[in-house]
Amino acid sequence: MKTKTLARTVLCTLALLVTGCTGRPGNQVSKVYRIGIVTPLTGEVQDLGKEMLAAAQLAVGEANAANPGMHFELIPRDDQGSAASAALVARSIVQDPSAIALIAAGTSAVAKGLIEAVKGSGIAVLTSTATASDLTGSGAPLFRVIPPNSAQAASLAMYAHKLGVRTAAIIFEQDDYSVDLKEAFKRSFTQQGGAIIGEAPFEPDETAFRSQLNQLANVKPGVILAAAQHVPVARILIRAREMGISQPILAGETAFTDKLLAALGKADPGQFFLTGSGMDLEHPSARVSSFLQAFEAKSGKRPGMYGCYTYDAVSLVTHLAAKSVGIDRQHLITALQELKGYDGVTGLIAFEAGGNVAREYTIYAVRDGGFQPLSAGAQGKSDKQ
Amino acid sequence: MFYEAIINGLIVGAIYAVVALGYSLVYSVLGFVNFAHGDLLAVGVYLCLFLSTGGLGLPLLIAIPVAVGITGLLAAGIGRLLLIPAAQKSSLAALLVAIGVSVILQSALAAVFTSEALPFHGGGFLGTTVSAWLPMKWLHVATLAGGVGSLALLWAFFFHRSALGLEIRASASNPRAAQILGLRREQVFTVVFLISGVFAALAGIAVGLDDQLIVPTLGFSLGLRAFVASVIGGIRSLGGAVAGGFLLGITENLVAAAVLQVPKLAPYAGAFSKDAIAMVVLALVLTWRPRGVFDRSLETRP
Repeated sequence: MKTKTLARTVLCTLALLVTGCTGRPGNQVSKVYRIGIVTPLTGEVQDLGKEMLAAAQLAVGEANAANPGMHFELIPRDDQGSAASAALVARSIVQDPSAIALIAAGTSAVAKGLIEAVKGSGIAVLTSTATASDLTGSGAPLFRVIPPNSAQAASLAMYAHKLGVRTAAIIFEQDDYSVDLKEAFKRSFTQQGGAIIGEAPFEPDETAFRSQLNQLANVKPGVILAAAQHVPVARILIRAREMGISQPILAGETAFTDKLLAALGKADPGQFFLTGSGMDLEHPSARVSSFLQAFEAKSGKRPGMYGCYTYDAVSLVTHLAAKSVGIDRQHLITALQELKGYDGVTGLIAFEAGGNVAREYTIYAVRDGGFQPLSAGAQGKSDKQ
Repeated sequence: MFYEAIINGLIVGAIYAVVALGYSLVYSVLGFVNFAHGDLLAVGVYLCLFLSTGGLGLPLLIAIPVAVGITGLLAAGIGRLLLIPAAQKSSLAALLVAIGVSVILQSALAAVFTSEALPFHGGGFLGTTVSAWLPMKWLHVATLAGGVGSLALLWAFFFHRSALGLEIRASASNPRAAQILGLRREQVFTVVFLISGVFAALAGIAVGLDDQLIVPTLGFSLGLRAFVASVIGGIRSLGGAVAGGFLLGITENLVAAAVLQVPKLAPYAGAFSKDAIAMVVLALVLTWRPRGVFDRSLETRP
């Protein structure tokens, strides 16, 4: 009798223990949602890639903290600055059934290779960096949180029109981004009745710019577009003002970075206008401040533009996944397509039919060592849907 | 337009000339091309930045000579410790070591300072334009006058009137005979690298003050084109290297200006890049006169 009682007691205790181990909510096995991020972690722009990875990690960390019943993980992969490498790692990511989205955080050329590789896999590709106009309608479920070049160019052309100028000249770097921005600006500017009266290409290692600026100055344009990365834009500004060229100079969003301000130093850029994300870094909102502080605490420095966009891309995915527990790839795509508006740090995010972010683009000027948003209204729509 | 191109050509030609002299000096005496020479431009300007506006806050008038001196000593050290021992084995070994040193210098600058562009201001009145009819800065005038003037002084007083200068010229003219005669080879080699480092640093600082933005790879492309200029002028002729620098600088800018003027060619101006122009000129000169335009020395086969 005593033996039977003892046995029953032990069995009941064991049963309770087993039930207790599996029954408590805090120890429930969470569904894991994985987000792939393909970015340059080695090579010339590895600093940028690592910044974007840090932003993505911050977003995932915050999502995990905010959603205890779910677990988000990143699958970071190095694209090595190559479309072929990006395609290879992207294919490996989509083979993981728990991977619900892929973040393409490299150049447009790399993004094209990645998209081509994952077409048909049914995974949503979000990009925080690829701005090539021809990515729109690439045949994959692509969602851009960063405005494409065509939209940036449209904003700049509209602003030039607002300045009252009817002629423009373009100085552009011989790379994919700059050429795309140049062509998009030419389309938009001429559509609004303006005329492009001069073009001057330059090589990536150009530093003097005298020949090109002499050529453009001689045709006396109303405005000059500097289609280039932030360092050449800074060089062009310094040289142009030194040569007495006083026309307004425009630039795209790649120049919207603290690195441009650092490169300019105390040099006065004169009338210089560029498109920006809409983030008011001088008077940040609570949301933006919180992000900036968290990023700086994690990484020891302020995020650049691409870090902000990457944070928004990952946060958007985790936000939509948290809203629909058990979401799969197809439902995520539908949710992205039907998104009415997500309050990201770079602004309100919703997508047009082609997957480009639908947003008013702010024009900035550089004043007092910082970017100052000018009056809103320079709204640019992509001319390639 | 073409007047401006010539002015721009003289500006960049002066830089090429100063840097080309360093290539020519080392090649003449030691028989190999020091591909680390271009990166000494970047070393010089970064040191100047650190000593002045970017770190210690010294006035430029002090920072410049100090940076130039340190760069010269560094060049001498690299030469004595790495390049000369390699050259004693073979020219190929010296070439490979020089390329390795170039990579190390660029990486070191990026690691210490950052790979991002840094502002380098502080030219003061040197940054102002001379006049409307002479569209160059006083900095360019100083570079031209200072570069050409110091080369002339070096040539007239050091190379022609000092014992060491004569030994350097002798070594450059006939290295084997110089060795047989027991000339002071170690001192000659050290001074050669020191002088080349000094001129590289001066050129780098001039470029940095002109561009007002510096990157660790500042000297790489410029150094390669200066090397091409030294070959065009005659790499064994110090005067030829200098002349080659001006010739290349003016040619580059005239071609660029001409292409931009022709509407049908302007969109393809990228094909007429500085590097492309330099290579075409080099190919033409080597076809017509392999020694270089201004090299009057007897042809010798390696």
